Amino acid sequence: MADISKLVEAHLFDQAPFMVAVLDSKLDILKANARFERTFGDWRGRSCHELFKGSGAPCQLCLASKTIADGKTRACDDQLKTAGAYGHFVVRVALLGGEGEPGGPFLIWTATNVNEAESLQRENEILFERVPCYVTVLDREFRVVRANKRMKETFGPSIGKRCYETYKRRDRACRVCPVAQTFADGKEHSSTMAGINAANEETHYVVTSSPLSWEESPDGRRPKFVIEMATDITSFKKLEQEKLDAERLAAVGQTVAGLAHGIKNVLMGLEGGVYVMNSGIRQNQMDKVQRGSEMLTRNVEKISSLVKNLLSFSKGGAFTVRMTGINEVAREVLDLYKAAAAKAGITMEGSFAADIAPAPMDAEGIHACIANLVSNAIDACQMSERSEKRVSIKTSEKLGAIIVEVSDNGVGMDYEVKRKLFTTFFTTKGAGGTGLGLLLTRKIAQEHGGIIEVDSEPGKGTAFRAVFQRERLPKVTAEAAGSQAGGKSPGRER
Amino acid sequence: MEAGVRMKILVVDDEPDIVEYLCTALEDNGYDARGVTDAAKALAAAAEFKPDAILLDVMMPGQSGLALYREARSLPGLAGIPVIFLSGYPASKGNGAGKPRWSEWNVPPPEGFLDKPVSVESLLSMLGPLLAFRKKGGADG
Repeated sequence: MADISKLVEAHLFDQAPFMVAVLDSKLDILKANARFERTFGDWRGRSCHELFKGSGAPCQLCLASKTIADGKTRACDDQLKTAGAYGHFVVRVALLGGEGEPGGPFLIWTATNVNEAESLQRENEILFERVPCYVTVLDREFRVVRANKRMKETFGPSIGKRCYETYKRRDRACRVCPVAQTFADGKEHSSTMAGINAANEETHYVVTSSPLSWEESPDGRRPKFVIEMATDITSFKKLEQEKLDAERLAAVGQTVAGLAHGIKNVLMGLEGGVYVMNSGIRQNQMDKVQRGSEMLTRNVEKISSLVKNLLSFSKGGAFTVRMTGINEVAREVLDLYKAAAAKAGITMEGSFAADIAPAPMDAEGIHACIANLVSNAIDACQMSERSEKRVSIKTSEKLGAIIVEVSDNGVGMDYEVKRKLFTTFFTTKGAGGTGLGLLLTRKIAQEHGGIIEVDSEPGKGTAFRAVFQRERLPKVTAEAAGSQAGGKSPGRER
Repeated sequence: MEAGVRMKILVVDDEPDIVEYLCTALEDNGYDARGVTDAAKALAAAAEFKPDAILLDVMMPGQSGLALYREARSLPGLAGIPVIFLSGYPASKGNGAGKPRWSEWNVPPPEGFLDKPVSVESLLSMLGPLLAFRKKGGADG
């Protein structure tokens, strides 16, 4: 019997499907099995830390030393130096006995290789549950077969339900669906969406869908499951909305400051009219009286036109947003001004990009906005002494922004004029204009989440650009929703 | 004002009514006034008219009064002429407690600043001492 157990011990040691070594209390390796030697190389005369870490001193969190001290068995994950490179192992250390003997007590050290598949699976599990996203796996019927904890916490239980039932609380699929696109073409797709969470609150998120596994079908290979990852952007959306509101409020403040500045000019014109008239009466000069009276008339007219414009300015609330083709609006403005411009010796031209999809805008407001810019451009040309005068309207779309550019080769503006352009009541029309146009233009642009940019050089000309980011455009208003034309903008399905 | 020594004032503002008003008021009070509504022509007018003071609207379309002012200050013939700013903005922010407006505009301080609408009284009471000083100190000019 004794011989058999010795034989078993000898063979078991070498044939164990893991690495085994015996260490003494100084952590020197006394014995190791064949698998150990194959994995870590020649161990004779070396300590564990020398062999596994290439270090002269024990590791900071040395398990073996702790086990020697308290006799408890320990295990951990560790990266150990092998014959090739570092590898990932699960290490176990237990007391073997031999207290009181020279070099004792002894330890038995065992390790198993963590293979790559296991390690990836562990990583995937962590990613699936811990990534700050809603993650679901969907079958070809859009049913949720797996969902992570975060998804469950925000949208409630979803397994077995269709994705749109969970995300949107709705019984039909979305018109623009990245998952459907991935099932169709096997590629990754992304979209910005809005849904309703379990607490019945509007939730905004960016969805990315990727094929997870494949199957054979009569039409060839196709995705069997798709993984859908959604990043919550609700707080960013809220911030964006707050920023838009703040910008609108700031615009109101600047407009009021601009109004005060403009009214002062008219007031001075009125005061001047009274003075010149009185001066004429005092000196008995009828031509002076006449000039003073004309000044009064002109400035009274200015005031009334100002008030009229102010009323239209304050009408801001009545905002009808429907799907609008920017090219149609720009063309209307071009047609409206072409004849008058030609009469003043100015050539008007239009260049409209063909591929701009309709966008939610207040067509009337945008019309006023472009018309104001064109009217200013014509005035700038009229003030110029150039022989060939030109005003052009150009539309384009770049990186999700619709751009309308109105440029002229008129008098241009210097730095200070540009700087004060929207905060002042500015008129290039001498006695004719109220200078409210640009303020109105900017107000309309801001109501659309847009901005007005200016490039100008004295003597060379000016280009005004109204830039509307599709993402910041207003929503189609309820009363206009029924009559909307064309599709929704891409990536804004909700 | 003494006969024969009518002081010359150049008025630059893009609003013709304001030019008419200020010129009439100045003429009525013994000054020799000339008005310009186009900022681009103001420097040439100043060189030719040789004014004793310039009333300048600081915000005009195209070339602003500030650019004109900077240029005038750098020209030997015009640099010494007192300039009074006319502006729809008050001379300083925060009801006079803030920094003077011209420091924000990045220009040297003008000799005077009149907030629109300008009354004849405020114009004359600013011009009077300014030109008296010029007459005494600038006997050579």
